Amino acid sequence: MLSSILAACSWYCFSRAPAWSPAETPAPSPIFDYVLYLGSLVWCVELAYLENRFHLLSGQLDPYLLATAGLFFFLAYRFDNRFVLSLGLSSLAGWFGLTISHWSAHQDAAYRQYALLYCLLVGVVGALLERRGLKPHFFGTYLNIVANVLFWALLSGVFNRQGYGLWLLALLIACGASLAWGLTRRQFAFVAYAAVYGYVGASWMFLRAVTDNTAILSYFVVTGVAMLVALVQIGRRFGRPA
Amino acid sequence: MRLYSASSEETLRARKFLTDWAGEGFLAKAQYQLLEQEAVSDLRTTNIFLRLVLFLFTLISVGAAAALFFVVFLSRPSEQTTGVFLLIFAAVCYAAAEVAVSQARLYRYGIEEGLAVCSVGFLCAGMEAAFFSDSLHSPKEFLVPAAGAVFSLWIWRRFGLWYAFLAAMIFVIFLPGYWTSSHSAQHLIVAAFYATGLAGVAAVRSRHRFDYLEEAYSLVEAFLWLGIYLAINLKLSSLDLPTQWWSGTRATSEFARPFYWATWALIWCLPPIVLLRGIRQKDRFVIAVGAIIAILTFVSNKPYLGWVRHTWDPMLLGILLTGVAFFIRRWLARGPGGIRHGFTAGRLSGKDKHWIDAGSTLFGLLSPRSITPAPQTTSPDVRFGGGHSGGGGASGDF
Repeated sequence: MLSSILAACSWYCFSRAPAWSPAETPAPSPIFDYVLYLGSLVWCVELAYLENRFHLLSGQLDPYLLATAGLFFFLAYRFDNRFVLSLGLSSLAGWFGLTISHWSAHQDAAYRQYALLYCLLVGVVGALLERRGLKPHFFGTYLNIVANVLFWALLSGVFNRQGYGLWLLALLIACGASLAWGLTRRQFAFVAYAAVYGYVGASWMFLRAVTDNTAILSYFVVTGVAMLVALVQIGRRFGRPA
Repeated sequence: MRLYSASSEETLRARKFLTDWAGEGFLAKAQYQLLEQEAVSDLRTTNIFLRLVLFLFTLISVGAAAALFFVVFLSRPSEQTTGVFLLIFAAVCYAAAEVAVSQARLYRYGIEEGLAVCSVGFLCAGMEAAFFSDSLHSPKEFLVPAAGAVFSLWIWRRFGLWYAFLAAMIFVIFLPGYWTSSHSAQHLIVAAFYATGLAGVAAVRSRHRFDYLEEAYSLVEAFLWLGIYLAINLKLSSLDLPTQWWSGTRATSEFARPFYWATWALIWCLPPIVLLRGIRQKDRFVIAVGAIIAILTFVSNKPYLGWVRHTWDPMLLGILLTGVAFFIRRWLARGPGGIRHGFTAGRLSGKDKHWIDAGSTLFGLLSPRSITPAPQTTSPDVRFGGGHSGGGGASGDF
């Protein structure tokens, strides 16, 4: 049943898809994207079923994830589908996470380093593909995922009990870069990332050793208002009038 | 009653249409610029991301300021004193929201929304602390959710915030618990409140068929239909829902049999009524709610009848829905010019394109959590599964 659904979806997508183009290509019909997405998900279920029944790779899931990521990247670029690209990126992230989950010691630090490596890899590949004109509209998806993974990784370093100074510095640099990118490209999601992740990291640092309720609440009042003022100024200066 | 003038809101609506049409290529750049100059509004808006962040920081600032006031000026105040000050904070927040709109001309800017939301929260907390902190189960305690509902409705009317209406509907759910212990009566009272609201909205919205309020009333009507359905469907509003569903027990004991079966009949009657109304009104939100409650009826039918659910039930439902979607699409496409009775399966607007970026990012961020498993155990009978999130099913059970 799964194989027949997969075959039907594949036949539909490959028979109806327009000729490949490196530029943005509209879907040939409103249901095309749904069929492609269904096929992608059925592929995952079928793979899970095969491994569960026949233990083809004896529980070694890494190759499955890597192959699945590769397949999804191919489908995303062939059929111009950003949701399938997201599946590919998350499968790749899953492969990174699964690979280091085999290691027993210092997992948090290892996860963080591999998250940074993942960001670097995905960010560079996304930028190169955009520069070469291969589906340049995908770059936003690459960048948003990279930014969020990067900020989470840096924040987890800031939350460390020791050796957090470097992580804070990296977080502030990332926030500055995100803010600059958001303002120059008018992509305010990156301004929001910089504001929220930066605020959480900086607040954690400032309040790490503070126990006095008055000081903590005063901090939130002052910094909250300061953030509001700064964001309103940014909105006025860089946003468009209504 | 509304804080914004009709002309300002009409202008903003026109600008939204212009942006949408320009994005779709229906307008040339020169046309867009010309029309844009004629649609200048005095209201100050912002994009969704800054709006969310401004809303968040407003909540942080106001919440921290109120807490700081109690810490600095009041040492161990009585509940009544706390309540009185919370009521004062509610008034201050509401006044600040009004000023933010009337003076700074903020429109969906996050700040005035945060202040309005804080005022509702402070009002309810203040009333509870000031008037009902000493008495257990006071019969007048229903005034707290009642005040929350009325104030939320006021904010919806005054500021036009759709989620304030949703908050009012949620407050209404708590009302009947103060009046009766009968679960049947509670369901009926909530449904009656929503039905009254629906009648009022249906009467009013006919006057706003093509103006800037049409979308707001459409959304509210959709919420009310959904609310009525959820109040009537005893299987969805029951607390031990998962247990009932998977064990197949009927749990009719807390409801009288005639009431139980009357609600079963009603959950089958409502979807066609809602769909018919949505189609006649050409109302996208109401049609969507009609489709949602039709699916919910299919999903909750077996638990209602006490039949055992099977693992293949969702598959059959999926096949049915896919078939219906295919049939409707093809039927519409075969009409003259791909249109039948004013409906088309073709895409008319590119509005949804803007959500693809956000959706794909969100999906990409959520998926790794479900496909990256915890460190692998050496258990030999680890069962393989998941697979719903694009990772080859690396976690969970199949």
